[in-house]
Amino acid sequence: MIRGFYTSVSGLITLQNEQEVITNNISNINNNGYKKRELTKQSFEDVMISNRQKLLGDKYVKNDIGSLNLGVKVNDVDTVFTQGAFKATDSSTDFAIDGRGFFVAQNGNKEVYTRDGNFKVNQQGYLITNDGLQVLGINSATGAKEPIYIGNAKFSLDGENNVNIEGIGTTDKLLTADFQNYNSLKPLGDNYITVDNPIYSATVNVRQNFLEASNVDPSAELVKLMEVKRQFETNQKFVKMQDETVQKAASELGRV
Amino acid sequence: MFNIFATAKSGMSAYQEKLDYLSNDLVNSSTTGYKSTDVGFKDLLTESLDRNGTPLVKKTAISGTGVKLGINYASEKQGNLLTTGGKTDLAIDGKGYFALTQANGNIVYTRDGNFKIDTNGTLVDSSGTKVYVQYENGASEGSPALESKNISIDKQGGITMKVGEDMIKIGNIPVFTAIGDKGFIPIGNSCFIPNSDAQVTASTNYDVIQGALEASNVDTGEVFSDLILNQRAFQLSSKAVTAADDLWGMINNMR
Repeated sequence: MIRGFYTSVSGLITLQNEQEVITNNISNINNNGYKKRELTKQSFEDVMISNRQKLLGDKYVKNDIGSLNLGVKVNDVDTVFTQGAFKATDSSTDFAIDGRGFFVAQNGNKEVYTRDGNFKVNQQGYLITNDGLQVLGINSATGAKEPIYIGNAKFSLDGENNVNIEGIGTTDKLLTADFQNYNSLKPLGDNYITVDNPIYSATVNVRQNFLEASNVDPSAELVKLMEVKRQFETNQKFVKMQDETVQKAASELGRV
Repeated sequence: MFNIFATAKSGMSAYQEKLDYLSNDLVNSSTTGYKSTDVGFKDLLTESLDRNGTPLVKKTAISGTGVKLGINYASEKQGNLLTTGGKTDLAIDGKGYFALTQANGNIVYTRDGNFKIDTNGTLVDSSGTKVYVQYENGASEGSPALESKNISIDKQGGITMKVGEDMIKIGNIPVFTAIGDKGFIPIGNSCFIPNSDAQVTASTNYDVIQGALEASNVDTGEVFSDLILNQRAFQLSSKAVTAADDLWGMINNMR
């Protein structure tokens, strides 16, 4: 009887977490390169329910009624790596990735990866991410990893991701990375992620003069929000109902 | 429960600020030499769902905590050139800024070439600040006094004036530039100041056009669609606040 409380409450807690994930998606709906997250749920392990109301001879014996699971729990939060829509811009330092892959930027002595290609040029002439980290390239002559120098010149990106600077020619290839397993990517905030073992050789399709919008679908998120709310309401009603039942048991049945 | 409010609120604040930038662009859509603002978003740190009382299978599960506005940049895109025919109206076609010497000696930079000639015969901008001119030998500020009907300015910014029957080279209006999208920072009044680590150099890649002004580079169509997009995102974030409030209301009503 009382275990029903905990079943309903497990639903409330799980739904609350789901709503947190949805709210985060909604907040990031206009964030370039943002990938939506989805919370997955799992039921508790089935348990055998039994009582001792079966009379065998003059003894009550254990009687198995059947299996039951006692609620729901959060399984995991997955990031959904579907393609975001392309938005054309008139800035030559805007990039978008079509398909798999990430841009590579230097944060201190660590590499971080991002899908947000809203790049800029800093006062020293290097290509940087929006918040100032240097974007990495591969020197066409030496093959060394280095920040990409643009300076004041115009530049364009060819099909092989080579950075072609007007009047100078190809100096660097824009470094991109892909990963075996997208599930192990760790978000760092500020649109960056990190993980070990990047694959630099993978073909990554980069488009210049485009930005990738977030892949959050507003109607889907809003519907999910409503769904969560109603499911929460149902669970809450069940808690109330059980409370009333328990109250009856405690106060009315005991009355002489 | 509290963090849902914070997450949703971060969305509302970020979109509110973005709307501020957009409306500022919109009202300056006909300001001479105005450069539109380019500002993006950044997601916030994530937090673990592995909390007391949360039934969780994968202990690595995380959720984000919202969004914030990124760093703003002034777009360097060329504005349209509007022909005015005014002799002291100048526009820069290409990279760079005119320099202005303020009354206190500070140098500020501008793309707004709506210049005038004051009573002393010097070239000033529309608010009376002197335009920085490199004078030729023999010429100086106010000598000879400039007369708007007699001056002509070439593509490099060289000023020549008809004095009597002779054309005299008076000086040159230099155009400066610096590397980087944040090399110059807008300070209002159509003026820019160089960033602390910016190297201001003479620009080589420009034409000065006499008799034209550079219109604002704000693309009103784009700003309007951005405005709608961000207003709706704001609205959606506020819906998330309401939903969180409803949830909490239900919790409070359980007993």
